Amino acid sequence: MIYSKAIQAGALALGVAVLGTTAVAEDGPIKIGVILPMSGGGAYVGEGINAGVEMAVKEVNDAGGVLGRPFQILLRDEQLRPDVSTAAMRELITLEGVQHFIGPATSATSLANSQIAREEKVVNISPSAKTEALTAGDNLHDFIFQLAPTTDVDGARTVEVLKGMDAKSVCFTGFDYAYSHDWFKAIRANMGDIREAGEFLVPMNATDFSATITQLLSSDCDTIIGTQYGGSFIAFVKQATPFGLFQTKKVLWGSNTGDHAVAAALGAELPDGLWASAADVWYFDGLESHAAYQKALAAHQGRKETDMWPITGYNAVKFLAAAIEAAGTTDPVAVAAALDGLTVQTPLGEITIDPKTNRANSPEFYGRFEHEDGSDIARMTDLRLVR
Amino acid sequence: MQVVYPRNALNDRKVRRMFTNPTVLFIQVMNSVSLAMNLFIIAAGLTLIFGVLRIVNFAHGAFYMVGAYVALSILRVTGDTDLGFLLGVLGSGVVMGAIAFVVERGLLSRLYDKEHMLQLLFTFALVLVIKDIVKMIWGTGQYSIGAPPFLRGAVNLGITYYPKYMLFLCALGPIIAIAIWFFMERTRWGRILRAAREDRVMLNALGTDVKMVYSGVFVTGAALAAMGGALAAPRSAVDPGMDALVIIDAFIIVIIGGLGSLLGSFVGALILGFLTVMGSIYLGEWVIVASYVMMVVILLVRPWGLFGKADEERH
Repeated sequence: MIYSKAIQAGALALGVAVLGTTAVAEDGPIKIGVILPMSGGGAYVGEGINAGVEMAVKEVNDAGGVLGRPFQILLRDEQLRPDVSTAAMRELITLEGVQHFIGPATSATSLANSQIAREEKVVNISPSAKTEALTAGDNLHDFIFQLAPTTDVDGARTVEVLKGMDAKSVCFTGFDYAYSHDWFKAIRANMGDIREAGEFLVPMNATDFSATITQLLSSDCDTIIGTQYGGSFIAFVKQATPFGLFQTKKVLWGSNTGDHAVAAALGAELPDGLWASAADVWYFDGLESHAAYQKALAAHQGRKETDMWPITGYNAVKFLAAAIEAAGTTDPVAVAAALDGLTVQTPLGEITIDPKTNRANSPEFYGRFEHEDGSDIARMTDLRLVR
Repeated sequence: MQVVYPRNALNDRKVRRMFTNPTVLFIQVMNSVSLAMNLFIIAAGLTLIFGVLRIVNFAHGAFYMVGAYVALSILRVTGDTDLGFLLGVLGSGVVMGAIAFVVERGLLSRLYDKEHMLQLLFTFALVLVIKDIVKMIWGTGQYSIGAPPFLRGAVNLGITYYPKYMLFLCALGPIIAIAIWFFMERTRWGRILRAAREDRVMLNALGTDVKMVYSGVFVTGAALAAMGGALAAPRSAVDPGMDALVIIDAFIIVIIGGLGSLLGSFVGALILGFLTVMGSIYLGEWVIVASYVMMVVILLVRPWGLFGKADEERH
């Protein structure tokens, strides 16, 4: 009898404890798993996206949170490695109970994490991955949402820029990986009368481009389209400049090399006339909402000349907050459903997630780098916000 | 100074048929040698450390990265001048050498008599520590160091124009190789180093301060890595990931050349340089596999590398 009562008391205590925990969880912060490259060569991307996430979370929390609860960021380093990235996501789901994720940053890591989002039924907003494969065919599922313009959209936009550059023939160069293949394929599908004169790919993460530069110089094209990014783009420019590549060919570069961080790193070494794209540029003054965002970002980062990556993280948080608010719950199935067709006011205007493709119609800047008088850092001129 | 660029120096439509155009062939050969010499400067320090200390230094790539960052900081102070670049290169060697001295005396020297695994783990841990310190000091951004003004642009070689800075690297590699060879083979200090490599117990018994010999070798190897980083910077970006790839190339070079062999590193660098440049034209993405296949084939034929010594030859 005593034993039976002890069991009942224990069960009651356990039940109270569980209920208490649940009550705390429902009243506590909403955890956002943020998985980004925070070390190595990709760290500047991760830190940039995370700055935008932090700023948006602060805005949300200062305004009273979502459903009366604040956001809490749980940041993990993906190291640009799918194995590390997926391990981080599983750790956050299992140990922290995270149901909403922002990141990872690249196409390769995003593809890997998206499969976990599908299995575990957690919301995964990709702020920056561009590969079509992330939300195409069998890879598309209810819980993955892609905010960056995909390579098929980029391809069509790029051809419009090529026509504006009066390109007659093009050579393709870049790393031999998914983004290059997808983007080049989309350009080829749209380029009409523009002739292709050759494709010169280099292994992923190669650092010496002298052989390719020589090939590009000796090829019969008037315009070069490339995809090396970050430090590799900087290396390409520095190696190609003394060969005179930028004086003999017109050059258009993908991979968001219009980012101000790239221009700042290269300084006077960035060749004038190079066409590029970027998710954001701090010196765009065409929208009041963008000016307000840049002012807040400058205060957050302590510098006026900000990079392009924060806006991707910022928008991701705004979408998540709006979806949770619309769903009236943090349940990931309901939040994912609310994201379908959701429109959010961003610094660059309204952005909507297409309910059929789970892709957002995010705009991007295209422009031509020029050094203005008195500054070593080039800015994009002929700036076009392409939607 | 007028900068001369190779405008329309190349105009061959047969892009992949490189051997039909002597100009393009010449440029690709020069590209191969330039890359090889850049890699040799880095690998020389690695092979020097292994040759005497018998330690496989995983942190060599991190030393290379520190060199580039130190040169960047020096150039920020001196401005973008020829003298500033020279000070940047030399200063990177001095600063890294000083750090290496502290690390060797304070930590690494305690592991000489321990098993190799502990030494490997130590140098690997050193990589992680250095990367975090670099991140704390210089952040995660990307930076660029330009070539010194007198080495910018291209020079007319008769057959074509070629970038001055790459020619400079082509010349610097052999100069450093000859300087190290002369030091090792023709000076008293070199004889001591060779003796330390063969039998440090005997050398100690003969009254030589072997500890300082070891410190000197580690400091010299680290300084070479750092100066290699500073010299590579005008052709690459300075960022927190720049160490990861170069350490792989450096290890391939010293393994195929023979661990501890200076001549082996020189030849190994030339082989890898030509394979990387020519291979990227004809092999595409397979060029990475090709360098590993080459290493495996060489090790199957000569497990001690092209110019290394088998254990039985040592004793």
